[in-house]
Amino acid sequence: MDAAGSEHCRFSETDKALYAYDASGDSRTPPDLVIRAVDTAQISRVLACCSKLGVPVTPRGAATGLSGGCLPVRGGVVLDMAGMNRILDLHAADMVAVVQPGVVNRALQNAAAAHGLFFPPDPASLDSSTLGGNLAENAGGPKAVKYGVTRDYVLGLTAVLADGRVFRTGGRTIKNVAGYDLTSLLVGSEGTLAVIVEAVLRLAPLPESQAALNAFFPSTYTAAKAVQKVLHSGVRPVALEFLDTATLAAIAEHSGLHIPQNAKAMVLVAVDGSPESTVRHTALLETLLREAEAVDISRADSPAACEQAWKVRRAVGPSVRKLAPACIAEDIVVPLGSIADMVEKIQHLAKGSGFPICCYGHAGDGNLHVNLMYDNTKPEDCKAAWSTAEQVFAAALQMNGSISGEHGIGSVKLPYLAMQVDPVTLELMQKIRQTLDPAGILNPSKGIPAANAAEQSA
Amino acid sequence: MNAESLRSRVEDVLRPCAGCGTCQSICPVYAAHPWEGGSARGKLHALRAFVHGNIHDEVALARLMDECMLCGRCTDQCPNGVEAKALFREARAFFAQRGHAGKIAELALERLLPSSGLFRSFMAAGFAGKPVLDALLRQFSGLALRFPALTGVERMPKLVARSFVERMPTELAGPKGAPRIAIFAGCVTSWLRPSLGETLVHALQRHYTVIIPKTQGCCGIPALSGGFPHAAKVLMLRNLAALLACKADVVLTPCASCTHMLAHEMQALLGEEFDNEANDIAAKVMDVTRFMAENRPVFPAAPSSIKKLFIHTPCHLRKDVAGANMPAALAETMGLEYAHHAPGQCCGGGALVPMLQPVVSANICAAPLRDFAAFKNDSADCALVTSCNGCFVQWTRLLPAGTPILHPLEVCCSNRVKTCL
Repeated sequence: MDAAGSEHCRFSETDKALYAYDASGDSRTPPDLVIRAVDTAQISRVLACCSKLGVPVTPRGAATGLSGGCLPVRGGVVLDMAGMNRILDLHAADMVAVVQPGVVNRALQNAAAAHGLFFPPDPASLDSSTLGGNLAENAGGPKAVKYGVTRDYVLGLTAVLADGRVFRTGGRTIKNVAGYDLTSLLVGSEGTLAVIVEAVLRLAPLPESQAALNAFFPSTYTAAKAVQKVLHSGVRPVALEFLDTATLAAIAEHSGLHIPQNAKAMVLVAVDGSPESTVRHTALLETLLREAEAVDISRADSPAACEQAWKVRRAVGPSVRKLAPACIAEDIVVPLGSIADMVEKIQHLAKGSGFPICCYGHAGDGNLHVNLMYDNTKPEDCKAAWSTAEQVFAAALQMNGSISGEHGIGSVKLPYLAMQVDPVTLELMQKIRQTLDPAGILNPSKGIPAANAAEQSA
Repeated sequence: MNAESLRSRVEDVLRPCAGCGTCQSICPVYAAHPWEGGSARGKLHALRAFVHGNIHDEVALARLMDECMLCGRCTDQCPNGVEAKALFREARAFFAQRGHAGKIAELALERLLPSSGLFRSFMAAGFAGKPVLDALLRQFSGLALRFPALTGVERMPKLVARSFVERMPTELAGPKGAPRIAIFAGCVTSWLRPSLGETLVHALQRHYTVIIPKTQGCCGIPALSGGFPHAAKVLMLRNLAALLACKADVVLTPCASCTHMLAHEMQALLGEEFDNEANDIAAKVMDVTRFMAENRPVFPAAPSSIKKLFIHTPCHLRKDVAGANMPAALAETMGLEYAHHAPGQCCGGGALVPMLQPVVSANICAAPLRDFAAFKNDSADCALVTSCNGCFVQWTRLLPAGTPILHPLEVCCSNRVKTCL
């Protein structure tokens, strides 16, 4: 506590209970101590001290993660980064922003917009999630189909090692090949390698105009095929979202939004760019979607109309949640050519499992959210739901996909990582982790299995 | 409410919660205090941990519930329809029932406020005692440090010996056949800012019959926020009777919180038994700012010494678009320079937080205060404009002494009043 400054420490029963959950719905052991991070020097002192004492440290942003990445599994310290929320520099000429990890994604968007710029990674939680969390999980979002994911916009980092030493990676330039790319290693490392205290982020020019099309299809298969046609059309959409039959039915029932009666699936295509190009591209895409058997298309040309068009997509979460008391929210990803097959496979699994499964998501980059709706008060349902989830993972891997596209492994998906990553790669990952954090204090039991656990299972 | 009913309420309210953190992103308390307990999500989960027996410290939890502006942004923005605000108010009532509201709050909100005789005597004592308190505060400036709730009390306007409602006639007849407008003044207009009420009467009386029901009192929102719904109900029933009796076409209130209470909280508070009466009055209640927006010719702008307006939209008016936009429209007609602070920002003055958690309240106001200072830029003719008396009290306590804090009505009509009264 001396290392942290006692005024930044909280350890009452209430405080501890408040740091034992996140948006994953998982709930773990409460921490023993919550430390409010204030600056690099303090974090450095805290980590050095915890390394010496072997106390686990779990960094935490806004706790909007869906894989339990910020939950303390073995007690110890939760390092609350939310208060380090200053934008240190927003350099329009360099098109970069230098931020502290607690800055909320939306706050950066607002600050960048004042300079005609934006930060392309747009996780659904962007109004509340912190950039530190976005970096730790390498968050994606709908715009990934055109702009890529968080990692593509990180130029440099300042981070603190588990032993308290501070180091810098990368820099402020787009090209930079001096030494190993430790920036990319830290992004997506889920707080297991170092604590990021500053990031240099790349910004992009704010597009002049946007437009969106909501196209409804008679079957999930035709919709999934339409996704592929859009990807090959020569137009690069800024978002290409897909909603299956179960998801649309949930929206029609619970959201009050109008869904055409004969619609069994929906594809949302959004484009951005100059006013001329958006007009031309929407016209082209509209024709293409009609040819792909769309039964109904609504077109949004103004920002207000686009907001309206996105309402259907945004209604997914709240509507789907009403189907069952609990939900396993997966985020598998498959190669672009396998999207239609994966959607078919999921429908097949849903029929076999007896659970409602809602499949929707960022089809444009192959990233599908598979929500298994079940009753968590019945132990047999929990078991069966997770076994179905495992079959979904297996199917994605069979198609050369991945078990997580954007949520991260965290604690929730840890038991399944070995399905995807081979033992040699896993050992390499463990060696890297041991090198950076020899005492094993940083976010233990997250991201990758501990080395000794792997030995035990081997 | 007993422990079992709190438990089932918490379970019901939290069932649709996805823990997504949307409520956190728009919470004024969290913005000033970025720690989990600041946000609605944190408070909801603390309540859940409490009813599940994982938190035992009731006093700490009661104090955590005090750190909420009850502004309702969390409830409005929640994608899953979690009714956080209602639950927080119920939780405050639950803890008050178990004696955790504090003796002063209990005395003031449950005993003093609903009793019109006692309240009148208290105000009279305040009228006499305020100079003594001010002198004490000046003499022992450390007093405000030890009791942060006392910060800026010496800047408050002097209480009046007779309230606005008492000194006004019950009815001022307007032109023949003119619509009847009742004024619901609220405590601050009655006892601290009677000139605001008088300005309103003056502007209205040439066009309308103006009624000032004598038996009106506090709207009840302090009691409801403080965890004493029964006291709030007593007050509300008295107001309802007073407003029904005057057979008005419109009920105007010069305070956004009173408007909110009468228009949006009354029905739920009084229950089905008074559905017809409450709905009748709620439909007639209108905030003065909205009335001004819809009846601009009634409020012609007089020349003003004020040149710059810093507009603070009260939490309780933010959903009334016409009312919320009126001060800016007024500034444009009058050719005044104006600015809003960050959209929807809270001043920290509501839900008794300045009394219950003065440090939290002051921290919430820190950013708005900085914005104001930057806009004012040392100009002497800059005023803060707000149409809520809770906000008025907060800004009065925290802004530099002498800064004009005006209701929009006073921006355009204040000069004429001095000549008429």
